[in-house]
Amino acid sequence: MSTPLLDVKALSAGADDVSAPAVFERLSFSVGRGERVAIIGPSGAGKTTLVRLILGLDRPVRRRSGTVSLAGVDIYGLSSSELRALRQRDLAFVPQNPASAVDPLKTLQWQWDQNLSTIADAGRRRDAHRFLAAFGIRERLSGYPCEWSRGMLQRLLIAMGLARGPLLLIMDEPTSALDPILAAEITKSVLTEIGTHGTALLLVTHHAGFAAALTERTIVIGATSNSAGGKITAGPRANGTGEGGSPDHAGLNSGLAAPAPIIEAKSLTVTLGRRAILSDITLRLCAGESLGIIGESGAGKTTLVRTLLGLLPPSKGAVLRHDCRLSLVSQDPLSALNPAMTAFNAIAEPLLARNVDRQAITIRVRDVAALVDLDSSLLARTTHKLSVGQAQRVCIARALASEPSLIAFDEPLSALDARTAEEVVAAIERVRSASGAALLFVTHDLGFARRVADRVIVLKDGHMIESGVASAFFKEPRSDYGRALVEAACTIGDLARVD
Amino acid sequence: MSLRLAARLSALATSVLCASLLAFVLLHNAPGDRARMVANARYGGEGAADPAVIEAIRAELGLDQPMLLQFATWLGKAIRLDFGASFVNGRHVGDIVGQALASTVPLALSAFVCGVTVALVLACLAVYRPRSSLDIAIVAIASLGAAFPSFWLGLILITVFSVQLGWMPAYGHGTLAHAVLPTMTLSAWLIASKTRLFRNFLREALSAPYLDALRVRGIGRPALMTHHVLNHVLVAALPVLCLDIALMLEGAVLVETVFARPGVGLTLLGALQSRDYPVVLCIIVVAALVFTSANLLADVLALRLDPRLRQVRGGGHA
Repeated sequence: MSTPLLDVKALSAGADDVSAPAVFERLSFSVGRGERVAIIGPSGAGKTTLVRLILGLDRPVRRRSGTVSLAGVDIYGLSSSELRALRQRDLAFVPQNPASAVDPLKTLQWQWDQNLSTIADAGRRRDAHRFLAAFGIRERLSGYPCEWSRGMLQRLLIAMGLARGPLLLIMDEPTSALDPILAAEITKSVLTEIGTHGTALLLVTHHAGFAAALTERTIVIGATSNSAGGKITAGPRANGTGEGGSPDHAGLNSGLAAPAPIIEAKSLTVTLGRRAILSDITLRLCAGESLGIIGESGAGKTTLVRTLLGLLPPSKGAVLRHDCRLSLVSQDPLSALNPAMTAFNAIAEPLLARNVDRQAITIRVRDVAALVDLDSSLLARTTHKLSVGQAQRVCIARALASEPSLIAFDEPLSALDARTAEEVVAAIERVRSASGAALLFVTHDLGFARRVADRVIVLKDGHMIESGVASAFFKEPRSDYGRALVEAACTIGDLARVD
Repeated sequence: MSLRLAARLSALATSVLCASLLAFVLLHNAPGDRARMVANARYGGEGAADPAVIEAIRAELGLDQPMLLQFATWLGKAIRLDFGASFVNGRHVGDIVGQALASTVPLALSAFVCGVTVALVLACLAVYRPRSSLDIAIVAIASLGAAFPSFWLGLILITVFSVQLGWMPAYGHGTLAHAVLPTMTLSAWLIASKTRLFRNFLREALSAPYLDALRVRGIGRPALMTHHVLNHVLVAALPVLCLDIALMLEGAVLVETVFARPGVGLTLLGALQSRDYPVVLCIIVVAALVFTSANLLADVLALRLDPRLRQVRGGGHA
């Protein structure tokens, strides 16, 4: 093959206003037929913009110069109907947030059929159902997108993309919605399928381990990424972070003089309709302790936290809250903050609600902001001008401000790229050593769980499979499922191998 | 679902009951002796009726009984769709109001269909090229149109099309031509307000991220619009549109008065002037029923069309 499949030449992108700085300038690379390439870069480096330009979608920023050719055809020289035909025939795209790629008002069966209707080859149309099975979708498609989990939708979208038999599959952070076991499985299936069809893969990710597992070549983009690039490709980011929960933390719950419990769940069962989301969960969390709840998507992790915090009523069993000062740090920091408020006011808000006097508020806000390493100049900014990492630290500071006895973190890293995640983890570690609050983490990132949790519990299909001291769990999981989780996390690079 | 529907239906019945009780109390306490009014209406003359006749009428109509008992009697009959007889001419109130509705409902519905269709077309034209001069012109006309009161617009239309051009009859009813100007007047307000609403919903629906994913799957613009964008616009606009059907009936009252068309408007006006309380009460109950059922219809349709609303019920999201 002399011409590469995808050829990006001197591509520059920026806002309509030419005086605004470019998102990236004169970017050139190519992807050969059947080749697998990863694009890595920090958030803000223009990864998503690049993908949109390759797909011929030019908002929110536009192409300023340069060309994108697919199989020798300049896509910016095509008419809209030619571009549509090219996308139908040669391209498939799996976005980061699967919920944003399906029409919420149509059934999935309808959308599956619509996707099939764009496939010209009749044989391929008949063959399409095989891809559902290949990606572990055994459910009927009759439901609506809002009834499916992100992980399931993500798998459906990958199946929809590959069923078209494209020349190029573009995936933007495809595993951010998936837990490690599933991510490892999907990785394997994607590799098999694109191998048999000779499909090229362009993977956009901040997850170096995943990139290494799936691709042959890595392209690093972004101004400061060259120095970081070597490090990223050299080893997964959990590498060298030590043994996670330190042993003296881990011993907290086993000692005779047990500290006062803050929250207890007794035979907790939650059912929605006829489906049991959680069955018979018993746990206790004491002051100063840190508990990680891990498990695959749909295991009931978020439901457990919401029930513990009193946001959902238990169907059976009981939640005993011995201390009601609880706060929550959620998955998406940008939607958890009022964009019109300054960071200072966002952090001060829970204190204002408690009639704390002004001066005490100022002192407290500055204290907690310092703890999460928020520069005082950032406090005057409105929250929509903050980066995702800064916004997440504002959320953590806000959760801390009211001196809670328990802070729950629901997937606090999943919206962040590797470098910003590192900032947030550092902030969480400082919070953990400085505050006496009990911490509760919901995560599918085992590397993160190992760093911040004293104890872990493993959930699967609403059942508690395993619970124990974190360091022991990561060294030697007792259950088969726990072993599979740790094994998969090592495979995709979430966890450095424990020897 | 059926349980929720039953709950909603009983809430609807309660609202209508409260509205009719309130109307009944207000009318009961309105100035004037109703028995005397009936006597005057039946036998002519102002205040000339024999006091014995008036007392006989009072007993006949049960007006000498306590108010709540009167209400209970009225309600008992109203449930069987018997709204009593007109004080003025003794005809069945149900017949009078039914006849009025038979003329008003087609006017309101045709104005509704015209208004929504024109508004949707204008909104599509406006968003086709955002911020173009066409977009700005459509928004400006819609904003101006919403500011004109319908009776004023009706008079202007009569002046232009009937008096000056002589194309349409100025008032009355009977032929299709008679319906043109009232329909235009009534739908003008709907066009003005819904064009801006549809335009905003369209712009929102067009910026949804899933559309890009569909474009990448090779779905063309016509299919995007018909299967996805318009669907989202209608689902978003549905609650407003259902209430608009009810508001159309209300607007018809004004327009009928301007164009001297028989209908609920003229009937209500006449009944108020002659203090024909059974007719007034019946129209109030019908109006309450129309508004509450429009609300219920909006909720049921929204639940039917938007799966996300069905989800929230069980999900318990804050």
